[in-house]
Amino acid sequence: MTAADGGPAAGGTATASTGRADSSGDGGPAVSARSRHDRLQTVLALARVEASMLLRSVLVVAGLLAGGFAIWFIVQLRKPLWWNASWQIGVGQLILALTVLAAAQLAAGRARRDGMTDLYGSFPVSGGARSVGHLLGLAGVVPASLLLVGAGVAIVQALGPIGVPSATVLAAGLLLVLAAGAAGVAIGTRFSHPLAGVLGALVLFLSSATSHVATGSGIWLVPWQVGQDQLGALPFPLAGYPPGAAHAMELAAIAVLAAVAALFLTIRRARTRVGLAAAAAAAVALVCVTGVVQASPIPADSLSHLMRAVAEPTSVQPCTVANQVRYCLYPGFGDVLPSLEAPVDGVLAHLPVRPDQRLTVMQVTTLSLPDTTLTHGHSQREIAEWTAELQRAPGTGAAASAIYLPVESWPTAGGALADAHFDIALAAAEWAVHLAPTMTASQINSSHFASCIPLDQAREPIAIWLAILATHPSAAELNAGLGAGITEVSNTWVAAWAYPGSQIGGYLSPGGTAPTTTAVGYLLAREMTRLPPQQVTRILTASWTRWTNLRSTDAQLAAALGIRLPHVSASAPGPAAGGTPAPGPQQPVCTS
Amino acid sequence: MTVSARTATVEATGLSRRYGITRALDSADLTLDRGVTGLLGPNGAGKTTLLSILATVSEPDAGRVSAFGLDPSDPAERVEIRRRLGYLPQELGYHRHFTVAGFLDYVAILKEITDRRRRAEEVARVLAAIGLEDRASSRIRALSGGMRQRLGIAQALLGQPDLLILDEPTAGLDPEQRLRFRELLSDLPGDPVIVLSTHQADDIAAICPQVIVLLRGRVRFTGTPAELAATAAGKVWAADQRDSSGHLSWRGGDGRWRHIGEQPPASAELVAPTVEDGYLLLSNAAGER
Amino acid sequence: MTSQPAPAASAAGADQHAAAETLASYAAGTVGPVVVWSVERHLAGCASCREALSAHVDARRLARNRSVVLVLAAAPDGRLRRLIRRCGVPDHLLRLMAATPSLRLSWLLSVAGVLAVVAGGTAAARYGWIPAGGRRVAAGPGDPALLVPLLVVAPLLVLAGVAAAYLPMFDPASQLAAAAPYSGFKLLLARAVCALIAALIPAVGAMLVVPGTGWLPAALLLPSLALCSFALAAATVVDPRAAAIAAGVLWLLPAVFLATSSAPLAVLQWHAQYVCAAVLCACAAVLCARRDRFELGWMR
Repeated sequence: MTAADGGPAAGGTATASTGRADSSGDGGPAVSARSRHDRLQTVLALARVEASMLLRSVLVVAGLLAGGFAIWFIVQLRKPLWWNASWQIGVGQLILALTVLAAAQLAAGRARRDGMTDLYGSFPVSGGARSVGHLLGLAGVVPASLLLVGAGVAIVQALGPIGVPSATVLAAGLLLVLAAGAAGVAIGTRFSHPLAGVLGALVLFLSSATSHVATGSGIWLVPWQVGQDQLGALPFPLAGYPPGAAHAMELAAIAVLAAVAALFLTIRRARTRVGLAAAAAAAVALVCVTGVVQASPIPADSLSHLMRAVAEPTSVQPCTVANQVRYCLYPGFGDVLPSLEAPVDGVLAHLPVRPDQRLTVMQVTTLSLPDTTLTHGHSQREIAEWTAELQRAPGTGAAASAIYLPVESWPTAGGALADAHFDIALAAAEWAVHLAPTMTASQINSSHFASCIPLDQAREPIAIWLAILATHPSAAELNAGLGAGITEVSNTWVAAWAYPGSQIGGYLSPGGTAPTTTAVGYLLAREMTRLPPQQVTRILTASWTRWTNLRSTDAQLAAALGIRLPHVSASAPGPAAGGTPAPGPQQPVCTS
Repeated sequence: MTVSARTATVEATGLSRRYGITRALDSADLTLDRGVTGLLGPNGAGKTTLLSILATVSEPDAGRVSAFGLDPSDPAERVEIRRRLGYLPQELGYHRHFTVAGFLDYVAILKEITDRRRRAEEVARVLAAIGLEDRASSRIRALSGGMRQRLGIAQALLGQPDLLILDEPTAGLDPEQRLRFRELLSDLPGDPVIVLSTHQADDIAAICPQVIVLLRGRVRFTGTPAELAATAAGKVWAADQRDSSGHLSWRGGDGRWRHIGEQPPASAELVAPTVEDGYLLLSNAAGER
Repeated sequence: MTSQPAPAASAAGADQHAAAETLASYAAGTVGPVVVWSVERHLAGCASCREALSAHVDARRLARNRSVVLVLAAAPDGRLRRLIRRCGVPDHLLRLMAATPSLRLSWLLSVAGVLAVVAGGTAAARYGWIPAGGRRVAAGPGDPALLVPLLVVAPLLVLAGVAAAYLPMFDPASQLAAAAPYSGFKLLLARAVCALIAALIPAVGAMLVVPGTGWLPAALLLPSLALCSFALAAATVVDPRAAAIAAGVLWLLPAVFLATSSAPLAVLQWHAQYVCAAVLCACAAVLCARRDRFELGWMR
């Protein structure tokens, strides 16, 4: 990051003017040797002071805090995948880099801004040496950057990540901070106005935030791209997507370029300038080489392997069978298995009769093509093939005896995880009562809704009852879904119930296609949970096929169990109360 | 008090500098010895330009400078001069968020005092010399103007320079602080060459054994203050009435007038001249109307 | 020369007085700098000479200066100023308002530039000229999240305009204004209103350029007013710079937070408007109650 020889090597010319040097009484070479050592010590002392000032500056501390907060904000809520999380930590480093750029510009422009140029001109330390001191002083932000990396790794580890972190990508974040600092020093050496640093930080930020404007491979060339990729949806890391090592080298070359620019402005000696120009040329060459590497297409067979893994997950997934339920997870996601088995086993434990079909819980992912960041450089024919292949991916359509689990949105802990458990339990229970989540194609085309509603079907409260027994959610959370709203079915208003986890479309794939649950069904299930489970099981087992038939009604179930059917009044929204509602979009009833 | 070529440590011959069409310095020659030399002249006479050339901050258009036998036009020797230099520019800005001790420490590093302990000793020494020890940890922006001026003098004293160039060091100082400043200059270790500029004659009379008068870019006088006063000998007289042939007239409390002028009347009662009288007559002769 | 002890610096002691011609030449400005220094040093300590000096000051020169100043001050106004004056705004207030830093051409141009960049980008994304979003969720041209940068930036620009109107670092004449007898609070309000209008007009214009914003330009009014009133009210309590920065951060954080959540336009929905109205009322009350803080030395 520093120029090859540094600026302060003017002592070498002492021997050139021997006449003058003799008259001063000191030997020429002795003066130059001592002065070179002195200069080095001075530059190092200067660097130490600048480093401590930079580290203690308000801007850097604020950037550190904001970067840490950004990492926590981006990473939390979802189970982190290290091939994605490494880059997310880099976003925090970008924020730190912005503030470091501004702080370094302020430090480098300090002399001119405060009117000290005359005084500084009278010091033995030259402007070039001071620039070297500022550049070396950037080492002061290395601890801050490493702290950010450490905090990011800690945050990710606390959430139970999949995969291993990439040291190259994490190091690239550090290089980004150093490159931004060097750019700040270069800007400050020329422009001392404090807003020049802010402008530079803005340019850096905009280039990252609008990187999606560049199509295809261009997005890798900006200092840091922010979230314009499908990294979070990959089931395993894909080499070259993104190209981490080349990116790190590019950042190092940019740092060298910025440092050379800073030194070029302050060093006047011709020989040093030639060396600096050579270093700049080498850095530009490196940038070009890494640019070519980054812009080169991802190997076709890697992409084909990825597409096959997405379209036919079973080809890469090892499947285990537990309790006669098949679990298929991508390799590496093994620690998700216990949290999947728990709700499903809970449902099966209370299930009177198991269906014939075997339940499969499969992890899927959805990639969307066209995405030029993935497919740049490949022919249209190949892209069309892959697009067609992806249409066959299981996650794009629901199935009767399979539960699809998306790779990227599985939550980690807390309330969201409990909601996800309920979601799975309910899906398993719906499989158990033969309540399929899909509508036929013609139904979807003619309806505004992507899900059907099992209106007045006894199997619905049974499924809810099974799910509640399996996961034991809190009563408050269950009751909170009662005010979810109403929907229109067959020209009558029906009150719906939002089960825990349904607000964001559910935790399963495809989102938003699970059957809409009714308030009556939930209330009936709640009454059922107040009865002893064995009693309910006994009554259900007695005529299971009847209860799982879609023609059995809630009233019949309530009568069989000896509980009063709850009544929920669904009033029309708006001023027109009561009566038949105006014709609007009608949600279809589940028929399968 | 005698000036001899062998002890002359800073010499300048034929210095010229112009800014656009303004000729700031016009073939100025001077010789500076160890001890305090005052550079006297009104604002715009070229004092700041001359001092900045001596401090190797700017380059003359013509002329030569030799400081301790070193020539600032050669880069290596220029650095060597700067190692022995302490400079206080005229309008010094400050890094307002630095503390006093932090600023002095930073300047000490820039003066190549690399040993940390020695640096701390130096900073403590100059702080004690200017009397700001109790403000060592306060921010510069909290200091008054006079304290900042003293801080400027302090940074010039770091490293025990052999050549101390002070541009208007007493600006902003009250009389008591000026007194301390005079004592400070006389107490400096190592007997450096000190040149300070001022436009006030009483500073010269009090602290400078040598004075150089600079008017319109040219050196008009070099010598002791007594000699400067003596140049007005025979041109200051007293009278009972107002005499219009004098450049400047003062009326005393006793009703008598004191005139300063080029042509005293033949039978005038001459009185002893002062430094200010000599300065006034020189400026008149130089055309500073 | 014999070595005398340090000679006297000057003979103009306390019992000496300057001659009348000297004072006259000094008043006319025709003496050299050395004499000026001698005379001024004497005048600093001699009251009778100061009195004598005032008799020598050229009355005609002073009258000339005054007439020049009056001519400059009576320069004909542009049409805008005439219009405003006809609306009943007194002349002195008009001049004070015209000196607001936020009304400088450079400031207005930079505000317009920022808005042009942000609104232009949003409009281009809306029209589909540049790809928007890019993530798996096809954030198409109709996605409300596109409007987020514009919504976040516009009130901040209004806040910046108002902050520039009262922060001393933008106003080179702030010390003069602080010492003037004109009520500091009234001046502040007048300038803040000017800055508000000057910033809102381009902000609303930028919103109108972007298609499909509907009622959003009107919805920006209350948040902008609330932000500015908060900054002004906080300036009575803490350092004015810190108050302005705090107001900006307090807008930015929740806006960015909400923008990355599922409801990007929640910042401008009805409940947010109520909150802004409440903040506006509260801060206006604080401002009125503490307006005397603007009178004496509040800008350190």
